[in-house]
Amino acid sequence: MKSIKKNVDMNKAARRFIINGMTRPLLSVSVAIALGLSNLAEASTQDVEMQSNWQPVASESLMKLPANLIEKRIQQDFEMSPMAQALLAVEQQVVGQSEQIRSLQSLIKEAAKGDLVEERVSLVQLKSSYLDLMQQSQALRQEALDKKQSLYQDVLSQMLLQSGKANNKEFVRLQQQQEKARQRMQSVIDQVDKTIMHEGYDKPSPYADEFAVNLDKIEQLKAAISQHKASLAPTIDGVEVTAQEYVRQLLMQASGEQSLLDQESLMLSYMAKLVALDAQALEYEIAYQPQEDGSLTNAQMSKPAQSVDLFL
Amino acid sequence: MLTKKLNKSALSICLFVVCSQTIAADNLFTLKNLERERAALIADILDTQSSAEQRQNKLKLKQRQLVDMERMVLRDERLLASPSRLVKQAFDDYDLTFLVHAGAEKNRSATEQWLEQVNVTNLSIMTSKAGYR
Repeated sequence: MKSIKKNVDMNKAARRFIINGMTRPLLSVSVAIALGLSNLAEASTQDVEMQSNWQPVASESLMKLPANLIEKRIQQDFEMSPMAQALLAVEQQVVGQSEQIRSLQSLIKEAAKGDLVEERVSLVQLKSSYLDLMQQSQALRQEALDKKQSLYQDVLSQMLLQSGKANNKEFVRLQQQQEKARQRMQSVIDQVDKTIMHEGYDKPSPYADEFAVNLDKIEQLKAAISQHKASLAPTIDGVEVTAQEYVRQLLMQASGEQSLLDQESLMLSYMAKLVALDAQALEYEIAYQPQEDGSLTNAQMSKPAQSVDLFL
Repeated sequence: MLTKKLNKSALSICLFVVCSQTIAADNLFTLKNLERERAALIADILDTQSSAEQRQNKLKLKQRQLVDMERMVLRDERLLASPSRLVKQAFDDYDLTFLVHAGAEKNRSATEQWLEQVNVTNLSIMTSKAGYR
């Protein structure tokens, strides 16, 4: 990853050097555009750094959500963050510039070779600034992914901590004791009620009465909850999984995204190299083309053989 | 926009449900009530001021109240959230904590159950002698 980034940076420097060297003597308009664009890019980089804050935390409220909602909550939080807004702004600039590049490309395609030099220089400059923007977007996406990964790891460690507590020997023993006690109570509950009736109490207590009514309603509610689609356990490819497994899957997805980002960085470095080569080729072409005002160039130097007839 | 609002409200409802389950002034409330009523039952058993009939009536009423209290404790999920010594002791000794339900297993009243648990039998009473300690 680091080597790819270094490669992109080196290509970026090469592009800047070649483009600046080419434009300074020849194309003042293009230079102005280039400077404007590069200033804009630098300013927007600073803005992006200042505004791209997103500090997600594995808070208690996040941990209490069902596993499949945790992912949605994190995504929602990211979308509302200044970082997401910055990323969106960069993406919009990328779209705008890609349209400009396309229109310039179609214009140059139709022109004869050697014509529209200024436009061709502008195209190289536009491509260069487009790659700058792409790199900014890449950096933001990488930062967001890093934060997401570390958040998922925090969530997973808290889940493990909680399950460790739930598996605590003391707690499990108490839980088993409570379950046994309930079973013992359930086995004699009718008998106790009958005994109370025999002792002269002709109706159950308000608690027992209301509890029985509520119990029936609770069963109905439980059934409705278990059938509700929002309460279904998280699934991966249609298979129900535990919350921990689900978060582990999210971490694996993040690794996948990381590897795709690495691949995209490599693509960007190759694109940067192509732009640098374009700029170099264009620079040679401009430097060695015949001058329109008829002035002499090195290629047209007089040779003695050509001037012999002057002396005969 | 509407989806965002719906998401927000769904999340807040979820949080409310989760929080409402955790907000409890005292997790041991039901168990403490049971212990208080059990102590009152034992006080009534040992009451020497009342006549036998008065005592019997009081014990019947206490037993009925204990039925509800014991069921409330046994159904109380919050007790496990507090790993207290009181909870541990209550479930360690079911026969002494849940007098009515444990007694019903052997067709005994709550009073008989308590006396049996503290080893006070007819025989031990009959063989006892009055004297100075």
